Amino acid sequence: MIKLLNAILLLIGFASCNDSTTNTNNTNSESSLQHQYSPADTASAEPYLFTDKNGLVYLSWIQKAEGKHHLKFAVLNNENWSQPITITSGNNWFVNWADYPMIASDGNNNLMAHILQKSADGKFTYDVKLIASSDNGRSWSDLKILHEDGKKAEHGFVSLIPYEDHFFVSWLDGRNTVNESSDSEAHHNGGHHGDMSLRGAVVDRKGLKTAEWQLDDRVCDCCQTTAAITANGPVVIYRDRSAEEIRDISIVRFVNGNWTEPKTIYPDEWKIAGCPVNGPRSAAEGNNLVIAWFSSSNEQPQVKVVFSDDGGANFSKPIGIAAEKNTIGRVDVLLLDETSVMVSWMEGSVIKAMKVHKDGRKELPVTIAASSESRSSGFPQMTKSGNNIIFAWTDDKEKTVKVARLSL
Amino acid sequence: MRNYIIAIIMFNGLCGCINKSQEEPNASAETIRAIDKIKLTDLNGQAINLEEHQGKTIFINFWATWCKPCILEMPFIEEAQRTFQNENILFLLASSESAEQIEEFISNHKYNFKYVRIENSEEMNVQALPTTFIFNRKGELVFSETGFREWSEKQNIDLIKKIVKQND
Repeated sequence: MIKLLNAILLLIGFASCNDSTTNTNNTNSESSLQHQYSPADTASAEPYLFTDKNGLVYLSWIQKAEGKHHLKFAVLNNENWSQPITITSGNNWFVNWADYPMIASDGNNNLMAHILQKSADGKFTYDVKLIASSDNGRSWSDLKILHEDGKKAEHGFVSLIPYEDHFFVSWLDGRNTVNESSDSEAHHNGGHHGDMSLRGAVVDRKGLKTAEWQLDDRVCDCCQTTAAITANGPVVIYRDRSAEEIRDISIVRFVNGNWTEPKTIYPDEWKIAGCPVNGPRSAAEGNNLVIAWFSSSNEQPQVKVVFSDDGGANFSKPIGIAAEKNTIGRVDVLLLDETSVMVSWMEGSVIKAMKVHKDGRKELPVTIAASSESRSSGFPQMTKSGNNIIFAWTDDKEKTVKVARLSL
Repeated sequence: MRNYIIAIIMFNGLCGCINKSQEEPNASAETIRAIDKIKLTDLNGQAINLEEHQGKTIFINFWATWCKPCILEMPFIEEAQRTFQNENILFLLASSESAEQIEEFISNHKYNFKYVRIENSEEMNVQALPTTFIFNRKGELVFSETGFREWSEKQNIDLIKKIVKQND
């Protein structure tokens, strides 16, 4: 009996101090972080990073100059950025720090990018416009509208990735939200608008649509979508919206020519009558899929990561990454190999990243940008280039896009 | 001897716990008051010093031009502002967007607000929009909430009234 009691006391002694850091490996990589020359000029923001199948890294961003917005890009060649190329310019764009343009490459000189263009002067309605290049960005096509609803509504939060010989696109589509009345009229009608929907499409290399689907008829209005191509087909992950205003993360999968019904990946039960402005991010290789997201249910902010080895049909138990009081999410994630990923997120204006293993082990977080040296804003981006992780973010103090490289 | 070893292990275990909990007060001691941390400017880029409004209750609503719940909340905030027009309270509508974007919104929406820019919403841990902070007359953050609220409803007016009357 005494032995049993002693054993219990011992267990309590050890267990009482077991916290989330127990699983953390003591390998700090901050020494291998290098801040790099950024190809983005001053007055630039909204960076996006993409690595093609050949390992070539593309950085796009918006520059504001002479009363216009310019979507630019540069390519990372042997640790040097190419001269920026302007993809397109305009003075009627909808520019929003949370809803940034993207660029994607199929690795065969075909590039696709998008911008948001206002559909009416002075109104907060806008369309998704695609623009294509078949000579690796030296010349670009005219803008093509992605959706044909013809509604003056919000269309945005695009995900854009190469898919077979085409590109896959997902976006939030506000066609059902418009009731052709003003906000004040809508308010007097009980504030009722229709719901924001999630749509997906396949476009060819010229940006012409070959297929389109509605994927969910009611989703969160103001969170980014993310898409990945698994061995089974495309998947789209997004912040859903229940009738009770629960904004958990859902997935839809294209399997055998049909889209699955939306499925919650984990019941955070984050209830919020507002805009979380925090979408998930995903990455896939074969049927290995990883998803990172932020939630703040019960006012407890946390970044989580979940793995799937069957293309998103089933998931492992989520791994909690960051749960500081000042965690604001804005995550990114990428696969390093079959068993580990890199996750980035923000704590206040500090950008952090951490290597996480599929078995739940977590390495020490690396500070990518500290508040003492910059005021990071917007959504930090991350991509992999060989044995390096490239980061890009907007520094609100210097009003420019900054870039850093972390060697693995 | 066996019990002695167990006692040492238990003691070490507890010490570990004490060390962990001691870190929390240190962390909070370093915390700067939210009202001193917040960086606001007017739409001309001039810094707004909230110290100049010392003695006033300050209601700050964080919003964005593209945030539907924020825009739906505005008539309620305006009505609450009207209710408190003779009280010592300042209502501010703070967006992190450019002054140009805010001006464009103003020209399309005729609300009677004092619009400002927030330069460090990330540092203020604004996780979602809308978010509302209310500082009492001592500059203490006494209310912080994320999400839409019908501010002109009686219980919400009472909530503001209670804060306004604090330290009377």
